[in-house]
Amino acid sequence: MKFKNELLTEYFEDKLAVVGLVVFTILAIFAIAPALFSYQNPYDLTQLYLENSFQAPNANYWLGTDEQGRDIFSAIMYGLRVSLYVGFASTILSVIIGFTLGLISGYYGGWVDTIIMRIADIQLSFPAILIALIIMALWGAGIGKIIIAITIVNWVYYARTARGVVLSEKEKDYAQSAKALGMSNFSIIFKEIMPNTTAPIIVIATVRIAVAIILEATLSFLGLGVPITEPSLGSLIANGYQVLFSGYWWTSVFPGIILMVLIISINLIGDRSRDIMNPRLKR
Amino acid sequence: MGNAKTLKVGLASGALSMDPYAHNETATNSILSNIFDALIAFDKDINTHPGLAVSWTNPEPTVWIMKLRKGVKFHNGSKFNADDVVFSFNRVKTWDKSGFKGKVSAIESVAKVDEYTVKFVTKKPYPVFLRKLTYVNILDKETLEGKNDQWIGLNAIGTGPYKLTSWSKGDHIKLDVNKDHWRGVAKFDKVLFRPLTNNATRVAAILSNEVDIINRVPVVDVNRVKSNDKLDFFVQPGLRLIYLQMDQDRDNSPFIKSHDGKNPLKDVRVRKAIYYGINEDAIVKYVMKGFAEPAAQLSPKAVFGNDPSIKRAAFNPEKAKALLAEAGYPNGFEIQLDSPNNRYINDAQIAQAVASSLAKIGITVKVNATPKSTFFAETGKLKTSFFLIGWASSDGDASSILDGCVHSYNAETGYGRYNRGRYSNTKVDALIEKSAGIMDPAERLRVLQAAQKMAIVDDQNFIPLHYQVDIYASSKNITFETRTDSRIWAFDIK
Amino acid sequence: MTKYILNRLFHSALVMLTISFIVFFIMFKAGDPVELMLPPDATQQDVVDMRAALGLDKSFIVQYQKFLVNVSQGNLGNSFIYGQPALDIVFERMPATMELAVIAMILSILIGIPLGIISSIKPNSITSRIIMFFSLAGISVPVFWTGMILVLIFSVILGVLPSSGRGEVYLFTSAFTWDGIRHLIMPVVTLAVFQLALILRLTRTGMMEVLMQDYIKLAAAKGVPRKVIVYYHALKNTLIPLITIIGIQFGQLVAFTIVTETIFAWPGTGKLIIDSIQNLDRPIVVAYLLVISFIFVAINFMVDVLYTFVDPRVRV
Repeated sequence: MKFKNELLTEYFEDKLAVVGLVVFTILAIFAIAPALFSYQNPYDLTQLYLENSFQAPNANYWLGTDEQGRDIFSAIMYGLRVSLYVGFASTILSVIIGFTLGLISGYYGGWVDTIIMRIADIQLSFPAILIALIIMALWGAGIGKIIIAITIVNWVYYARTARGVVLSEKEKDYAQSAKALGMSNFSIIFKEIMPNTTAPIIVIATVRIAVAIILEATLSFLGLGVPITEPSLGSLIANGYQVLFSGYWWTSVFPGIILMVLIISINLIGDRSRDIMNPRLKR
Repeated sequence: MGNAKTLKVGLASGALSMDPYAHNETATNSILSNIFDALIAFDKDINTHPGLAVSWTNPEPTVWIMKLRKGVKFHNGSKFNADDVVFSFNRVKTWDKSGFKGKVSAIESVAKVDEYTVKFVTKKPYPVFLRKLTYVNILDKETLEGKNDQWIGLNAIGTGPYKLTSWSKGDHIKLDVNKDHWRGVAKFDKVLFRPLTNNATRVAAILSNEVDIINRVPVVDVNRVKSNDKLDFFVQPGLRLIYLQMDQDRDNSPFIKSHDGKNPLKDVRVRKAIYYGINEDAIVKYVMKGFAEPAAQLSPKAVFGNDPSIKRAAFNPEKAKALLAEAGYPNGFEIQLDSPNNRYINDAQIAQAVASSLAKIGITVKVNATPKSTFFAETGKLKTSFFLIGWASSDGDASSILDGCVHSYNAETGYGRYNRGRYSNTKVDALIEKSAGIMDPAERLRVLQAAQKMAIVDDQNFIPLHYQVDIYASSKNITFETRTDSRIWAFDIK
Repeated sequence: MTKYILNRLFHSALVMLTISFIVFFIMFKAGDPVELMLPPDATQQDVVDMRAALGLDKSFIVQYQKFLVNVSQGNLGNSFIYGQPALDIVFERMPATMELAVIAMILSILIGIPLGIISSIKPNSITSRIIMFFSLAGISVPVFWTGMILVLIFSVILGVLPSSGRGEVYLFTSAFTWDGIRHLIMPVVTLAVFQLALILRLTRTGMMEVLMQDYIKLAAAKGVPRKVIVYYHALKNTLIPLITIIGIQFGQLVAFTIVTETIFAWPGTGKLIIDSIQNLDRPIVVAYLLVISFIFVAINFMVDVLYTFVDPRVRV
């Protein structure tokens, strides 16, 4: 296990990864405080005027407006917030749930393990998008619901990883001695074994966050995501897609570019992190 | 370039079944109208004409004697006669999955008089009898007797100008011309219907000449289509009214938050305020791109019951705010507007625009736009206070919307099934019920108009927004006339 | 070995049963489609009649029981909307979807693996870094975006490819006709981009890990030609975990056809399932999900068994 400082220095060796980090930070700042950077609050209906709809990019509206008169630039800021919020919230929830269940499953074994892993198996038999689709289609729109849907889809990956690590760690000497010393199971799991699972979890999380964001965008594209008056990047793209071929390209292209940039930056960070944490790639 | 032999049509939605009684919905009816005939036919302006019935008499108020066309054959050679008519009507009335029961509920019995004469008896004098007959496509008794529903759903044997050659659900419907059709032989040897549900795909198809006609051109693509010099462009005033229903019944409506805890929609001044407060012209101009007719009443011009004297009030936010203040809500209130997002043209966008308008007069509206399955399920359970919905008076008579939406809800008689705001005015009910039995058209028109006026002008029971306009595009190589009932009838296309 | 196979079969059946229960339950809760199916002027009595005709007025247990009995006879019920057997409808549309999925998968493998190998041998060369960047872009772009851009460029602006539909079919597939191929190109590329990038990256990481191993260094020291090391020893060991992932990914691919089919109006099961969910056509949704699960379970099963033959470290 390497020291933090070492890891960070290694990270910065790759210029592209640094770019990714910088871009992501900028986008995150936009997302956290969109009001500081945007011209209007596109979620406030009193600020929208139909007369402004479908304006091409101009001095007043840098990236143009959509069919309700929403300033695309502002909508992207707020949409970023939704996308990141959904991505991170669902990932954190999935990690907590998956992690806990995986640890318990691996450590205690027996029928607890069997049940949890059977459920995981069943879920893995299903493409994520189908699960999410059914949940959203039947449950209705809403940010909370999307987060839960994506969490349900994603916990399995963390659970499996955590379980895998626990299974190999629990037979090791340090764990056995802890048990012999009378440490409670709880303590063993959380104090001794868990630190060894953080690296693999981070590795998976960086992949899954991007997947979560794409999943939300796809659901919104299919009309099953966030409520229409509070568009996320995915729903902006979806709305824009309807009119893309009619010449109103800015409503879809700009949010699409930002979404791509966001995911690429997350993947750059994730890639680099994985490379430096992967013990098998050490020269 | 259009192929002179095959007509290719790109449709916004495909057929759900080849059984003409299974689903009463526009797309299926439109496609099947090429394969089947009914006793009475609509022309493109929804006037009635003889179809498989050549003449009729109405000797007593509840009795109709129809004389049938002779020498007509079904696509498989079977002869058309009174037995087929009796069989068809019995099936449409009694088959448990029939979607047309409502259309024939007033018919008490149908009986064969001789090989080419049929006698209908209605439960009460029924002025719209002939119009309702246009909905019942005639099936062949000899072919269908003993076949199960599944078979009927796949095999369409009719008397119409085209025969069904193949049906690949969701992909295409192929028709071949019926050389023995009683109206004559249609110009195109083959017709290919292609469901292209995705708007952009459908427009792309006509622009690249993959199809000769498309329906439901999205309003944002009109300019692109118009500027294409190989295409003709058509606008047809439609029958569908888009309007808002409001909960006028409950004192505590589930999705309303007001300062006094009461339901503001029960006060006619609040309803009028909403009416004045919605900038419908902006909606028509910006959301519908000019392709909608602002509505002031329930029935458009083409529908019997329309009242030319009713005009839409001008957008007046000041008056709206004054009315709200007068009613005790100077600072407005909060409410949720439910809307489908995949049922009507730009439905979710219209709802957002309505919310945006109302926000500016103080009413905070939260828009809940859901897929139609959720929307109809929730509004059906009355889990709504305020919602956007449409109604097409497809048989051309005001009775359909008055019976279904304006009359007080009555589970036994079936009135007001779609009156989900539970508006109720017994005087209006009386007028509606009276009109059902008046056979004299002039007198009936007066009563229908009176009922409508009381409901929409005096009581403001609904907020009418606009009538949808059907937009079509077709290749210049073909001659195509649009129809009020939104159908694409290949026989008339040359 | 037989015991293992039987064990797996049993678990697979259990998985399918559970899935059927969950899906049935969810669709049951979603409400019935009668409201959607009947026109506005139908009376309350019509609604009641239709509900009874479709068997929707019974309790959940009764409906599920009936469903199970029917399943045991191979009948998955009739679609509420189309009135035809749900399984038939799903199978009717399957070839179109499978065509997309299989061709996309083959394309991703044929391009992804070689590119992955190339970028793993000299990871810091310009070629590798370019490949890596494009693969990163590939997994960062949502499927719908790729489709949109392709249609915009090739159909609308250039006008060289058809924007929708499936071409002429010959022998169950449209890949044998020129018209078919023209219609296939964009949907397949749309689907393949993500897969290709994923396989590329996995191959690269896998190869890089393997190339670090001592036995590889030993082989190089012994003078084994580089090509043999890379293409025989390293590749063989990379392929094993790769096969598993490809197996799982195939299932994901079939799911992503949903988005692709929507954009390209491709008459496959993806479009069918979206429409059926929206129309509350439960028999089709259940039939589709069971078929998909069956495919997954079958693939997983085959991969597991294959694994035991290929990897000597895995013992049953």
